[in-house]
Amino acid sequence: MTDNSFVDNDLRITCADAVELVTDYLDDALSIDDLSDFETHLGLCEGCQVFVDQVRKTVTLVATTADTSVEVMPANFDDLLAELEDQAQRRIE
Amino acid sequence: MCWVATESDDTPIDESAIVDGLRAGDPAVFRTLVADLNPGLVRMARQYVSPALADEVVQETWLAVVRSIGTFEGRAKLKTWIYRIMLNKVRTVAARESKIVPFTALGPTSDTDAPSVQPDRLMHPDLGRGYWPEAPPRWDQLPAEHLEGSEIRKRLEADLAQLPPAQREVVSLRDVEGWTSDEVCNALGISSVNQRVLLHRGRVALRAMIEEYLND
Repeated sequence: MTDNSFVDNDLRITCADAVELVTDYLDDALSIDDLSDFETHLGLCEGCQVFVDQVRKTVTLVATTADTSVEVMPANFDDLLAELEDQAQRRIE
Repeated sequence: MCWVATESDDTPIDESAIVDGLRAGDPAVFRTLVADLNPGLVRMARQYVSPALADEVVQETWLAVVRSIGTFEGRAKLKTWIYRIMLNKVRTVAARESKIVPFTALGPTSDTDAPSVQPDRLMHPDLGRGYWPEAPPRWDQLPAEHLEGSEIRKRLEADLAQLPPAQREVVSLRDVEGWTSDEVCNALGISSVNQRVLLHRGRVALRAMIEEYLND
């Protein structure tokens, strides 16, 4: 993203722009210029620091929603094994 | 423990040994692959269709894998190739069944172009529009039980199901299943820019839902 409006204060970019960059920031996907603006802003802005922490926490919490009760093996696994062997046999023939 | 190449796994895994094993009909190779990927495939399929149909779709997916492994060219990772087969199948089934699937009827609840924070919250008395007037409440200062336990997990699961499908797919693969952005782009056939936009929209929508829940 290069269209962040430059603001004439120490914060470099507005909070409204900064919060749009959080996922790119966490993915190490910001350009050098955007990263510099973002980190400068973050260093001075408690609101955006809290916002970044909240997004990080959201990611951690979303990970815990994985339903671990699903069956590890499909019910037709034996049929699949038979088909696997059958297909392999056909390749040899 | 994941056996097929997974996220933050920078060392290239020689998948050709796995593919060779499948082609040769090696049951141990197949069993390990299925055990590794089946739960994630079922979870993903359940986002589109009922649990019973999801199981069926994933079983059909494995059958397709067994039957077409001979033509797998190795251009994509084995994992993303298998997910693509499943997604093609489950999207077809979901389109057919859409009238009886409850959550698809709810439709998108998150606007793709909506800002990450509502503009009226970013109004500083001196700096003006676009700045926090004060920092939002810190979550790490809340009593631990607010962000732990089954209640918030259940809420988040429901919130995730309500995201627009494209956001839900990306958030599920990145943040629930722990995939890299490259893997997600390959499996879903989307650009990395689009992937990050969808991920960001989904994450900030979920952040807002958690915030709302904590304010209740």
